[in-house]
Amino acid sequence: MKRLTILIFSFFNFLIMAQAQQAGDIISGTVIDEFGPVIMANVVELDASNRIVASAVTDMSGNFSFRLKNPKDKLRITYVGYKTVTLPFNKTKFNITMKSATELATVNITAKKKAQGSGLAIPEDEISTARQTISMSEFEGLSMTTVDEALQGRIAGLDIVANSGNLGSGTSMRLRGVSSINGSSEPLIVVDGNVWETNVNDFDFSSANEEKFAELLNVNPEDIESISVLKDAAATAIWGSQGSNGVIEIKTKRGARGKTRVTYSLRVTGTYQPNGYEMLNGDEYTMLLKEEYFNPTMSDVASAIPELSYTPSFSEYEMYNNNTDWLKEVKQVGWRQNHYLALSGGGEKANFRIGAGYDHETGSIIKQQLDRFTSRVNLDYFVSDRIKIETNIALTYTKNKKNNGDLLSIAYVRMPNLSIYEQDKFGNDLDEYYSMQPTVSEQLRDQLNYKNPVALANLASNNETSYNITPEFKLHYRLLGLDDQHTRLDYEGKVVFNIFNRYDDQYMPLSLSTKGIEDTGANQTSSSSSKSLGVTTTHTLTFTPHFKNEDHVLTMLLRGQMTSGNSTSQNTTLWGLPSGTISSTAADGIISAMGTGSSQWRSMYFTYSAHYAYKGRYMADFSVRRDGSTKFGADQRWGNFPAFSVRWNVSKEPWFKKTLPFVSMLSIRPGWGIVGKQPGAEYLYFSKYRNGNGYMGETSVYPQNIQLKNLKWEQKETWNLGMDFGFLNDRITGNVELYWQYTTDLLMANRGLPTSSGYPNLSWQNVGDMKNIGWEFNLNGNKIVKIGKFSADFNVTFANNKNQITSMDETCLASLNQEFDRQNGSYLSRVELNSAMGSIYGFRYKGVYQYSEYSAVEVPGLSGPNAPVVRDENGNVILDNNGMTKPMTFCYGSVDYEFRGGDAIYEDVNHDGQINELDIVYLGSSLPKFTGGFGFKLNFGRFTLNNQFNFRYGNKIINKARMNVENMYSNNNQSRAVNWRWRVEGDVTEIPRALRQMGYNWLGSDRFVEDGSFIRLNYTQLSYSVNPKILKNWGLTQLSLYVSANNLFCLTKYSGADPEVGYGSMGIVYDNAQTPRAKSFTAGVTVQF
Amino acid sequence: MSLAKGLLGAAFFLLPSSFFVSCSDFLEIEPMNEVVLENFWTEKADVASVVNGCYEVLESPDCIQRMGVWGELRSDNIWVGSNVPNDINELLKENLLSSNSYCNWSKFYDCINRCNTVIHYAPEVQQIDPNYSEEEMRANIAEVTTLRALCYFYLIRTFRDVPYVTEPSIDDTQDYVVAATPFDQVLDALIADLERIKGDAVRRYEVERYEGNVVYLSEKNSSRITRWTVYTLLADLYLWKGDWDNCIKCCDAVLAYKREQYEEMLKRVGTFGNLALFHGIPLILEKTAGSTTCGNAYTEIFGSGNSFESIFELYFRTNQTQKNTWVANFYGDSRNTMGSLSAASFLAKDASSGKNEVFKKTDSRVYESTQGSNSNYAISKYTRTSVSFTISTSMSKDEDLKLSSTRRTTDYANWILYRMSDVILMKAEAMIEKGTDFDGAFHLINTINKRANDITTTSRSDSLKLADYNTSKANMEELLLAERQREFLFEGKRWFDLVRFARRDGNNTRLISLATRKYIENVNAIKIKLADPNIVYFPYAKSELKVNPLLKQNPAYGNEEDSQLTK
Repeated sequence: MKRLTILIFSFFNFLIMAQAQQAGDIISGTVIDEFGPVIMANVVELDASNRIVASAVTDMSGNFSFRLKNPKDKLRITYVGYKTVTLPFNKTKFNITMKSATELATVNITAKKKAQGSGLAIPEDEISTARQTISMSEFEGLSMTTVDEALQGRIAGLDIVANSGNLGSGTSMRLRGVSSINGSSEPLIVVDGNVWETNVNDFDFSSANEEKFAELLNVNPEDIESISVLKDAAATAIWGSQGSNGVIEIKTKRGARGKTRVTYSLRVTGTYQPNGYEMLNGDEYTMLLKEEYFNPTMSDVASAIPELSYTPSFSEYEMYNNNTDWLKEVKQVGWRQNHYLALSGGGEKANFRIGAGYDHETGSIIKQQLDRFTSRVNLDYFVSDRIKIETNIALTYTKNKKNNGDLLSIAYVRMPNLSIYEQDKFGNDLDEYYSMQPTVSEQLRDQLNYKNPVALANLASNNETSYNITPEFKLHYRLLGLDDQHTRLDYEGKVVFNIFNRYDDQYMPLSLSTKGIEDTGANQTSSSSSKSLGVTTTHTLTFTPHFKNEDHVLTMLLRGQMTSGNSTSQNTTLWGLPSGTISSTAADGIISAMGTGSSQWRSMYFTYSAHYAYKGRYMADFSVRRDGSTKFGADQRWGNFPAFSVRWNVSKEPWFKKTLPFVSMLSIRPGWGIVGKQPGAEYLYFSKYRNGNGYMGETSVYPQNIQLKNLKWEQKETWNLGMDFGFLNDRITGNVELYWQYTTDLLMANRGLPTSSGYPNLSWQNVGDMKNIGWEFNLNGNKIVKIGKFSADFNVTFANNKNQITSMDETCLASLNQEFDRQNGSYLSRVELNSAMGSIYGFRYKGVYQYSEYSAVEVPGLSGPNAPVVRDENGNVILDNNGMTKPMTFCYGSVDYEFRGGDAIYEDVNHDGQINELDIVYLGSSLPKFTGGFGFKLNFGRFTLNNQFNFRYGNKIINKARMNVENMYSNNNQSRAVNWRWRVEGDVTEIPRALRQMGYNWLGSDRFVEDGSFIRLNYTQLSYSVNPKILKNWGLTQLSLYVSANNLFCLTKYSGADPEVGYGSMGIVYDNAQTPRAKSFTAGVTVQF
Repeated sequence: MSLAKGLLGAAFFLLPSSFFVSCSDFLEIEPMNEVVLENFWTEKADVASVVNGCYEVLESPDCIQRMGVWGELRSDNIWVGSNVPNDINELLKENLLSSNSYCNWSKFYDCINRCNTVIHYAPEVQQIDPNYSEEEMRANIAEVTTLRALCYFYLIRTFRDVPYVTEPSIDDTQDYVVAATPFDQVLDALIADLERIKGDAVRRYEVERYEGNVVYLSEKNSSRITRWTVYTLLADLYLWKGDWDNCIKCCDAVLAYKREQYEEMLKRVGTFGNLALFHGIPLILEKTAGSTTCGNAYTEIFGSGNSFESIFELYFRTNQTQKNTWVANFYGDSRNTMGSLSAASFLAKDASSGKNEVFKKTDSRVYESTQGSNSNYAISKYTRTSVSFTISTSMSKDEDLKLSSTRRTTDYANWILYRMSDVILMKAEAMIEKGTDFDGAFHLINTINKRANDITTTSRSDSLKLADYNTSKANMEELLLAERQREFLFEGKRWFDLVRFARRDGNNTRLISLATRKYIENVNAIKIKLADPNIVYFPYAKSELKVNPLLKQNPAYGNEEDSQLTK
């Protein structure tokens, strides 16, 4: 059959040949323009689908020749700056005269700016969903290491909080508040249409989420063209369950046809740690500790500890008589260099962009070092008009030398009278680092856990190395029409691999051991590695029919995606290695831990999405996604998530321009949609049997969990009402979004179960409903002021979100709420129906009792009215039958602690003569009333000054960091604030007395709950770009210079180091004195030629 | 043409013939390191490993520590030791709140659920696996039914009414909120269960091994449930129910078997150096033949474990991943003589000088179970692998004992739940309560006492005199309780004994007068507190009440103020 076809085909060819040119003929010709021969013009033979089958280039005299492949093909001659000429092969010799393209009559370009993203390409003014896009050109030249840093304060409703200032630790993001009780609330990140995710589900890494977001680092900001944030369900619908927390779409730069451009940029940044609490020096510390030991028992014996007593006869005297500022010892100015080189260009058949970056960074804490190499190759190859092949390969290599321990937190607590180095009897430093001896006085043994931070930085190691490679292959096929004037059907097939390898190596030398030879942490080395491979295959069909009546526009998309992947990990820990240089797990040692892990994941979905517009005024979008999950049993496996939204471009109505001429754009966008969410664990619908410890040497097996047959998708229904507006010819643009989110079948992890079932909990259950209501506001001014060379831009966003649980099973609520444990330092959190999460409960702090003994009139130094006695509602002292006052106690009947002078006063809210759980009251909410940011940009000639602020308002933070440095309860160093502590009867102060391991002076109270409102100058930057006219002489096309400062100042009443603290569970915010965000200054230069 | 080709190509890409069919299969992934239910329960070995899982959970710290805490801590035997955890301290002060972690019963229900699972699936396996005979299946079911009964028995003695669940928890369609079943109903159900399966249980797993005239007892016979464990447990249940005849019947069955075993062994070895008949009952001697020192009974029963007298004990000794954390943390280990608990000092003080009210100076048990440490007495039962000392009526001080002992270097002490002394004293108790044969009961009690005082010959007179006790039931009960206290010191039984008698008496008078002996301060307040008949039971855990609305708190603890937060 095939042979026959060929025969017939050849026969027809033969017939045609008889009357015209035939394959194999030499085609030749000359190309000229009005000035003479055109050298290096492209001459190609194109087949029916515009594929190049033969090509030639004109020589010095403009001549060309090549062998004809098929006489039915066309001849095409192109040259930069000239109109393209296309001719049929009706002769063998051609004389072609090229005409300059500039001679063309002006053509009105009607193409509109299309939304960039992974869904349908829709003109921006037709988008009916809530999304906000920022072009990276706005940040060009800023000293951002991460994308999230750039987004901070720019996207309304996106609350970004840095996890900590440590190198590579990432941020935590909340889009439109918290809409889930368990599981990740982080938005989905999509890079060039691919979900940016390395599956770290079953890894031993401490926190998968933090990791995942830290990986955002791996997209070099220089590679990014634009970032869009999809907010409502209608916008995220095509991402289905993955996008239920919102989607951040990142589009990277691609090459463009034209001359090859080379861009090089260099940034040099200096970073330093802001000042936190000022800590006591050695002398103040020892005095405090002596009081701390004396007060509980009122005995000098208890406070006679040689390490605190400065007795020269004490053998370690020199090591305990210092004033070491540990904070100063571990802080430094960190330096960061970012080099980035990009090549981009393209020709007839291909466009390319190659970017390579190298970062070298030293931390603001000593001995931290990060090296990162990133490269991204984007290649577009045009096989023909119909077929395009894209290849993108991104590689990131990161080597992060971290500290083996949190130096800063050690520096805050370590005894300041200790020396860094061993000292001789004259107090001179020797070469060896000094580690506290295991023989230290028993009372101070807990300090053994805080190793000498300077020694830790220099002798121990903790290295993390990762490789991330993501090759992507894409085939784009235009099956029908090629342009807007025809009905189009486009197919796109895509395969993405995500390869992620990670290695962690840690070493802790014996010399740092404070526990003696049996310490299993001495000469300990551990290494762990993990690798994962994910493969995602996506097929997309886009159909855009062409209507005769061009008022109608319709386009639709059908997409299917399959993802599968697996990962394995292993770890080994050895201790007792021979001291010296050995720090490899290959050496002989005592194995203390060894393990392997593996996991796999799969998912599948189908999406249908359609967009219809009439006259560019009335738009409607519909989409539905069908999500398949491995996490549910067969009955609940598939979830369907529809979305519908419409848009009315009011300003395009013919009557509008006359009525409101100053309004250049106005549109209204109501939308509705449902997205789903799946639990964060696999294999839930199985009952798993696990090996136990065994009995009498025989193996034992036990059922490990209850099968979850009823578990289903958590659904979030969103109603969104958006409005876009533009005034004064779009010099001011903006939008307002109102939304109502109703989450049903809330997924809750480890839902408490009566243990009479044999299990303490169900691993997941759908437990209730939640509501989120909020609004967002975003305003941009483009050249709002323009006087001569001077112009100014601005942007403002702010947002508010309120959430509450609207229904939940009683027992489930009860099990979420913890009991008061009668311990210092603990706060209660409550989840209640119809009230917001993030509420903080605790005692009300009322200062410090001045006297132990009560007397109505103060007897200085002896007694006074401010003493711990029971009072009634009117504040009058209650007397017993004998006319004696009654002492104020803590938890009468169980703990029975009697308050004394110098102890904290807590309000006895119910006047029952004791402080107990009934005196706990609401102290505020961790959720901010507003979040947002604003910025302005001033241009003067070639100078630009760019400033961006972000702020949060009305949130409370539990300042655990301050609690820890003011509690005077342990051997840890304290802040200088405690110098104002109560010392003798009659002292008037706000700081209670020092009491080691006794008393209730730091119960969870409003003393440590602080207002976390702030305004931060996120960055300010002054840049200058050199006039291109001058540059031309140097052969350059661009040269710009800039200096900028990040985190320059922060206006806040918050007393901690940084009011930007991530959310903990149940929306409560604890400041645990994480490394605050460093401040930095940057200078940079960008050159292009 | 190109269009058709393209469409075809796209269709080929998008719709492989089996694509949609395989969608659901594609999303079916199974755990890589665990077996799932669907692939389990296919053969005999599966049943055997889950049965082992039932024993294993009893050895978990959460379980074994509660056996000790529930059974003994609130009694007069125990006082604070060193580094006492807060929850234990509160318990010892009779300041018991529902937030106390020892009110959490979850591990016992874990065991119950495992037992229920075996009972549910074993018959299915028997249908599939031809190597799994019905007899074996019934023996397995008997084994786990007994373990389940043991768990429930602990629970009802501690909490009185508890949720009674006999179905395994398999999936989330079941209702797990279950109300408590009254004490008597649970007790009756347990008795019915055990009566039903007692014939199915294995008599013995392995026969004794002989080397020359040395007998090696099989550890399995006392560390797995045998028919004799079932009878012993039944006897205990009958004792709580007040069914004296059945109690005696069960005890007799066990004693008869032990006698039979003794005779059988005797036939093989000719003579025993360490066993002798007391009143026709074979018991281990304090002083082996030819030896001059006492302590052999301790060394064999508690030091080595799995002794001739053992009926059922949890096996920790070798090849175990799990340590006996109860003994190691609470009694003491190789490094710390004193654990979190200590012996109430009135128990051990001045024993060697004869001034102790509980122990006669010739009573070996006081020296075996306690060890002076400064002014306190550490608990030494189980913490030593062997002990030897000499006792005589003429001694006057500790030095005269010439006590030498070896402390356990590992934390693997077996934990005895039932041994022959239990059977003997349970029978005695039933006889006393029955009231027809005080003399017989006395002889049984005296058997235990004689062994402990090393009175094997007539050369030394008995330390107990029949005439002192057989005059009234009250005297007999007093003797029984005292002997039980001496014999089972620190074996997790004393508080349950007191509760059993309080239930029988209908009041707490006896319990109060005995249990408060250890207190020095606050005695009256504690006496008043203990007067509430419900206080002898533990409160339900707060965490349990939160998730189980059908559970109603024990009224003795019901007035605990719930924290109402004001906003």
